[in-house]
Amino acid sequence: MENIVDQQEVGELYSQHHGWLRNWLRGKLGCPDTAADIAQDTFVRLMAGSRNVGFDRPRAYLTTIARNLVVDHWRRMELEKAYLAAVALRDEAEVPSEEERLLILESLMRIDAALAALPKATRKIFLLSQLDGLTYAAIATQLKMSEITVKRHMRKAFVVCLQAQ
Amino acid sequence: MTPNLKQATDSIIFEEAADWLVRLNSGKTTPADWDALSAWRTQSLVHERAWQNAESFLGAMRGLPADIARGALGREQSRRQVLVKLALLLAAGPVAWATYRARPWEVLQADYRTAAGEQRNVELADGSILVLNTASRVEVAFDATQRAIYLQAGEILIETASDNVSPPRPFVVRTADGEARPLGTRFTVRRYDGYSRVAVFEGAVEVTPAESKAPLRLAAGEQAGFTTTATGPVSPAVEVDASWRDGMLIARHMRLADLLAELERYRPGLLRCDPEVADLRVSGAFPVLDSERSLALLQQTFPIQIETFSRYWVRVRPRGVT
Repeated sequence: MENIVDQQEVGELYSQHHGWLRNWLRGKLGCPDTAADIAQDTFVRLMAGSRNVGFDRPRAYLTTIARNLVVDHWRRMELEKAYLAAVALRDEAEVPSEEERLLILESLMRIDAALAALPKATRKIFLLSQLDGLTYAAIATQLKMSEITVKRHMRKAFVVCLQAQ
Repeated sequence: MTPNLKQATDSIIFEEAADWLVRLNSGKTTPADWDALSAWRTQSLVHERAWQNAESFLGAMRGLPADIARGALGREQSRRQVLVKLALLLAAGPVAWATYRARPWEVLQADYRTAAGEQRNVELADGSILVLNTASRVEVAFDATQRAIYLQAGEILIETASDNVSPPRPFVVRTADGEARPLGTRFTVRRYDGYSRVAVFEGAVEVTPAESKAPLRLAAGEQAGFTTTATGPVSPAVEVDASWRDGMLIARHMRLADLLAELERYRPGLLRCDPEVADLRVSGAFPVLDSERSLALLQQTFPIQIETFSRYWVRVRPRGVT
């Protein structure tokens, strides 16, 4: 099945819809630079995508891609803020280098995106196990639930780990 | 091994890998557990690869500095933050939104609809969030006495907010089969052919069939179907039932035919399979808004081939059939 979209087709879509998309995003985001970046990225994604979907309703398809990119953008902003808040509490000598910072953020983006599929309670239990190293028994006690329930949540989370890119 | 048996086995391997991960992260493992895992891993390349995929992900988590990981991955997202973000993703034009935000007590009539493959977020005048799933149609009718939503087709997720007028108006969702009254909640309503279904994730919802006086109260974690005359049995509702909201369909031991029926909702035209492959069991997460990718994923894992007769007719057949 041919996956790559026809360059010419994308060119036409770009000239017809890029301006509209960028304005739509500007109205949503309030930041013209981010709007411009995401509008561009939307078409980049479009080029890498599949040709059978949504071309009879291009704007709906474009806004769907753009919305996902906006969600990624917000995710990155939140992770960067949380990163800065954590690093602010460290000593000068412990601040990661710029290169380390980028690697850490890349890892966080990948992991956070995968964990976003989990409901709040499952995510909390999973992090208690993996980040805080608690046993299932300890988690069960802390959250006042049975160990079987904890295991059920952990299994759900591990299914997501097995699926992650 | 025949192809069918192999693919059934791959699905089983996936499930077993999940079980091993649960067992070996309990905090109380013994050397015998690790030996048993070793034996399981060495059975085949598929076993080994499944384990390594998971280990790569978990290793990345463990490799992060603890304080940063906790602060970032464990961050609390306040409800207000979520509502603000969803408001920014509104499909309605900015002018219309500003108007009804300013005067919520006026009669508000609006129709919203989504095409196959489209999802849409709407913030209502009272701050409630309405999300339309694929191929759905609703009519929103807020007036002086109530906040009503009529679900004509498809599926919606609602996160109610307390009313911003005084006295507060009751919130009600109606379908052709009856009505659902939420009590400060997060729930989905879906219209099928001849019945509707409500699933509750937070709070509680009271369901009343159109021709019955007996309401059924559903609490968080419960769902039930209802027709015009009766409510059905209550079964569990898990958050993954609303995972379409994040664009993912989570399948666990699902029949391939059923999975394709779900994906079909998100695209125009037909997506069907031959009876020989209909009962293959599938587990995994599938992006519903990108059904092409889901089909590609299925084709990687199972002995099937995908035949596209036109954009509107896709057929899934056993591999090797001409």
